[in-house]
Amino acid sequence: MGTVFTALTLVTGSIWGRPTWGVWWVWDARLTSTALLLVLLLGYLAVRRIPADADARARRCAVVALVSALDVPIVHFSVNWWHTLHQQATVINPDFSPTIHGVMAWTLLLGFVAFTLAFAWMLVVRYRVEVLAEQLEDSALDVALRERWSEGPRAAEPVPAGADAAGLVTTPTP
Amino acid sequence: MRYIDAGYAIALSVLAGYAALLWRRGRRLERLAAPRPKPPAR
Repeated sequence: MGTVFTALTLVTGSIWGRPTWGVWWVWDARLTSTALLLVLLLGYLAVRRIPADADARARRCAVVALVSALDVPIVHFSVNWWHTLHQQATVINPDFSPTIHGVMAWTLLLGFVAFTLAFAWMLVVRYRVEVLAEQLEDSALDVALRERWSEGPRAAEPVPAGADAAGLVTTPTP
Repeated sequence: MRYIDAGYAIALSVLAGYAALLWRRGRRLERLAAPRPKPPAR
């Protein structure tokens, strides 16, 4: 979801930049740090797809997510740290004095609330989908294990070396 | 202005498409996870 929203931010920002700045894209601090965030999020999705057991995958993904999150404050403060093409912070700025026209401010606020609500609703649905998928995966594994065990006594378990000689392995009588 | 309209149209279309995809996937998983009725005893 972060990937979808970040990609949309870049695309719609580029469409806004064309009439405002006269260019679709420029290697400005805000734009570049946001593009880096998108690359980090794509990397996170790639890490999620690396085959591994659930715990190892969760730990690996958590590390990548934390590293990616470090870029979020960089995106926010980039306009104050590096004075490139993008205007400086207009709403949440160091002076706590929004420098934005009233109509634009209300439009921005409306858009912010609407997109945040949409994000929250989609996050709930996305979370539920993931929980259901995980439950199904677990139950499918249970079914597969039961089927394997039902093929024969101790068929799925490896016999330790020397166990046969020590008389530990019993042969079922027909 | 048409640039801004195009931006909104793209953003809303992508989000609507993604939400529909998620919703459909959720419904499919719910159907798969639902307990199946037992076959009638002979």
